[in-house]
Amino acid sequence: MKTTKLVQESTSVMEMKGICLEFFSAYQEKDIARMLNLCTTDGLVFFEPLEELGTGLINEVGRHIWITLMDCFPDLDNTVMQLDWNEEANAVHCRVKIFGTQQKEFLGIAAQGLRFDSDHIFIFKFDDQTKIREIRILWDHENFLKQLIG
Amino acid sequence: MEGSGKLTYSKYSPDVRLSPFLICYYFFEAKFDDVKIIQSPPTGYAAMTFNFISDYDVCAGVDTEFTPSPSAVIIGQQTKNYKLRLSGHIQQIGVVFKPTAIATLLNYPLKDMVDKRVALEMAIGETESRLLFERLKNESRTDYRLALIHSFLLEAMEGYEKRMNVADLASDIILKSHGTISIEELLDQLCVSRRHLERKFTDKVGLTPKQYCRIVRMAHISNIVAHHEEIDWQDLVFKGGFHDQNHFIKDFKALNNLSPVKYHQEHAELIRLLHNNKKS
Repeated sequence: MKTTKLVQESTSVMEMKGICLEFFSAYQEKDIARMLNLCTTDGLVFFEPLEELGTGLINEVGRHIWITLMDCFPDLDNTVMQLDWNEEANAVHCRVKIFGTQQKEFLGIAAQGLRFDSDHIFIFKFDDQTKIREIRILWDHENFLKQLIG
Repeated sequence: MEGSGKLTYSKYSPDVRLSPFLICYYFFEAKFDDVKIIQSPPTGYAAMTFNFISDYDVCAGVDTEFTPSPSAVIIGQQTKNYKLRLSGHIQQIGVVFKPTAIATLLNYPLKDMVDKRVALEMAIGETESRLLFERLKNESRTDYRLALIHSFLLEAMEGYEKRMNVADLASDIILKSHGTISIEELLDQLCVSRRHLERKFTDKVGLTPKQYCRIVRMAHISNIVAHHEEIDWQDLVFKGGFHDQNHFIKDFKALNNLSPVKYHQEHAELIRLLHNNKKS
């Protein structure tokens, strides 16, 4: 009985981790529709260093920020470094390297053709149907800006 | 609960929805013929307590005299050993929160609450505080009282996601490491700048992550010292990550106002009393 439960739990965790990988794969392919399709329609996103500006619905704030990023950094790419299940928070923590070269003005910073390379933490929470209902994103924003300003 | 000096202290676990925020609920009851001073070390946690029968006084580590504690109170981070002056019939129920949880759940940042306690009404408003306190006071059973607090906290959870931030994540990591994690390691794990982390953490907790690590590290050690009859001091110095015994004693005294050995002796009596009550 206990073994069955354990297997079920780990299967569900594996499924959630798989969805996180699919999210980053869609991100890599700049397929925002596929990214959003993995999330609930009322899911929330928190691009934490951006404070209020980066807080809202995945479908609105998330969509806008990812479209802008992909437009301003045409070679935007990511590498998933680590995926961990956090039992207490009921969430998947992902460490992801995101990198790209700036070709258009972004957050008021004029494009100088400089490249950023920044480790991010993505924390995904899921609903009962294994749809992403919350994404919290952390990164060193000061260092990110420094790389773009040069 | 008959006779003088008998103590009851029971802890209760929160349910799964509140466990990311709470350490435990507790019930404390004691009857004293004389005035009793109880010392308590900083724990690294915040708290909300409700006191029902006799009043009691508090002297925070930074204060020089005792002042009466409000009946329903929020307690911020303590940086020094503080004292409670108890007499008569003390009956309390309380919630021990993770350091950032009062800010996240109740939207009441503890930025200016270091070594302080304020009436609960400051955090949740006069009407709600009075209603909650009266309902708890009118209930005699601990399980019913816990259910009332549980419902109150579940309601307070509404919209908590928007109040969560890196400080909540950082405090969990610090607590898990018993305060031994370095700030550089913490920044690396969270991928944020030092300035961002310090700003968010200080707003919710009242201390910088580094100051908080020091409290947690010493709270863990103080707990070991208070609850064990035999102490391997050299092992504590090593596991606490101190350079040597002198640094350990200096830091211990700074927080507890007592040397480690004296602290160990003074707590032995209280621990024996609690253990004897559990057995009887």
